[in-house]
Amino acid sequence: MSAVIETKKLTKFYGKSRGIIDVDLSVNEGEIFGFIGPNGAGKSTTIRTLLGLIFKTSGEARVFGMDCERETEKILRNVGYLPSEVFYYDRMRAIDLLNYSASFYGKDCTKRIKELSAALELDLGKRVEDMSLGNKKKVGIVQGLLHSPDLIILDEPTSGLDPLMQKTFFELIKRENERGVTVLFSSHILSEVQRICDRVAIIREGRILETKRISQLQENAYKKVSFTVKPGSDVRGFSVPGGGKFEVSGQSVSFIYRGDCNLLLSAIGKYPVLNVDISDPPLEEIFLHYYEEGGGASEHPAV
Amino acid sequence: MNIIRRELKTNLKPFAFWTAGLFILTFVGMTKYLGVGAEGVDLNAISDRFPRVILAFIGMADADTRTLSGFYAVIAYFAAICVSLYSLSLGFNAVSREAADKTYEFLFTKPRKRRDILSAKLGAAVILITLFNLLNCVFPLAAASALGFREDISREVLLFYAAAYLVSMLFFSISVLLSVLAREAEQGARRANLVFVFAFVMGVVCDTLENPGALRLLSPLRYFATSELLSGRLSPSYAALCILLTVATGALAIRLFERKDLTAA
Repeated sequence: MSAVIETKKLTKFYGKSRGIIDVDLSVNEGEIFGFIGPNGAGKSTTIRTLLGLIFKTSGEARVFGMDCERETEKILRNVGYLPSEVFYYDRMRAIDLLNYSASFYGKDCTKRIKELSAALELDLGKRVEDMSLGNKKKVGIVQGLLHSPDLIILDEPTSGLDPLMQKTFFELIKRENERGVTVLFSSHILSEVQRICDRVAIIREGRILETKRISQLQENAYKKVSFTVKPGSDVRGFSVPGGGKFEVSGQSVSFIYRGDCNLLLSAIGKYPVLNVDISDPPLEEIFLHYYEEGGGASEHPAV
Repeated sequence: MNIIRRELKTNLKPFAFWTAGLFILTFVGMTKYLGVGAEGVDLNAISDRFPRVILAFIGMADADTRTLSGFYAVIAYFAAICVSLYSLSLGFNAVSREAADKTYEFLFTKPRKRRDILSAKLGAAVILITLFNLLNCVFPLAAASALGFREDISREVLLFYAAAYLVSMLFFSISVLLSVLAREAEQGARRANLVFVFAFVMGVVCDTLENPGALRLLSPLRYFATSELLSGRLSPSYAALCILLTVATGALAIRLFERKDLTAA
């Protein structure tokens, strides 16, 4: 399987400020690759370097085997990009903007624009300036996909989309992926990446901490667990192997857990439970935990 | 072609605004001459009472305002400032508008070379500057004809038009270069405006000196002196210098833009 995106020791400094340091990425053809990290970690810097918007300080960046700085034009012919924040020419109607976008690819995208707009319930006759953030994002999705690119780069794509539209969006991306399109999906929301990606790279403070398969990630993922028991029950002695940071408050217990979910449920099931909540911890918490354990990536996987 | 068309469309409203300003400046100015002539006012006698620095400031240092051509020279001075300022704004917009409006991620992730995108934007701006300068030539001729002046000023109008065109193109390319060099979009506009103010002040200084010599090089607004233009001469050496600086500055700007990090303003 050939690499569609490949970076080696890719480094970018903005003057003296850190952008990314020694980023090694390899995204294979046909996969949905998650790129996850907190805000300011270097996700957008990496993406902008790949797109030729900014220039690397050192290292290598290649897309479709081509150099990102010398062959940007050729690369961009087959790349669809959706930025985290979408800004378009306000006075343009959505359809005019999309036709303008299509004019750069030298192919008829009319049918595709109609299909995508219908799927996303986008009003093409509306002016961009009159649109909500969510609708502008929809315009962004259509303009990123209208030329049927071989690589889609999504930088925090779901912000501004309501849950139903997020579902439609993920279905669209999966459909694109099924026809062989490679997807680089950047996000700071772990569950989003887990939902759609095959592999994931974790970036923090400009450096890649780890790259692993989503299945491995889920095996090792910490969950935030809390449950409440009926009044009169004593939960002070609650413990479960794989759990940590137990906090008991009245009839409620909260803790983090990594391990077999069945063991967790049977441990909780010994109590007269009123309510259980199991969720992904925020990314920052995962990273914090990662460093607290102090073992580094290989010893104690963060997620 | 699509970029040029879009740029022209976007800049249509400001163009109309600047055109209206130029029209008012020219027609009101020319009408004023009609009024002054009818009332028998000797503007030279009035202007002689002012210090030369004030006259230089308002473009009357070398103009004999008793004649239509001399009076027109004062209007042409303000028109030259007008076209230069318009050119500065076009230069800044061509380079920095997308960054300031944060639309650069849309345009510069399209399969076009950066050089081609910027060249298209500059091309559209040059079209507008050329049109604006043509109007700067047409308006005074139309005003002179409409107001029924007997003195033929077509030669002066053409010479002042050519001078203003050359100078405005130079200011345009300076603005483009400064915008490319600036880290933030607004910074480029500020610097370009400062350069213009400096050139203007140096122009006033040149006009107050008997022999400004090399100082004239620092003020494109005085590359083509009013007295020379009124005597029917457009300095070929300064015309060549203008063209050379415009081309060199523009080419350098495009080259530097190819390696510029594109980020939001």
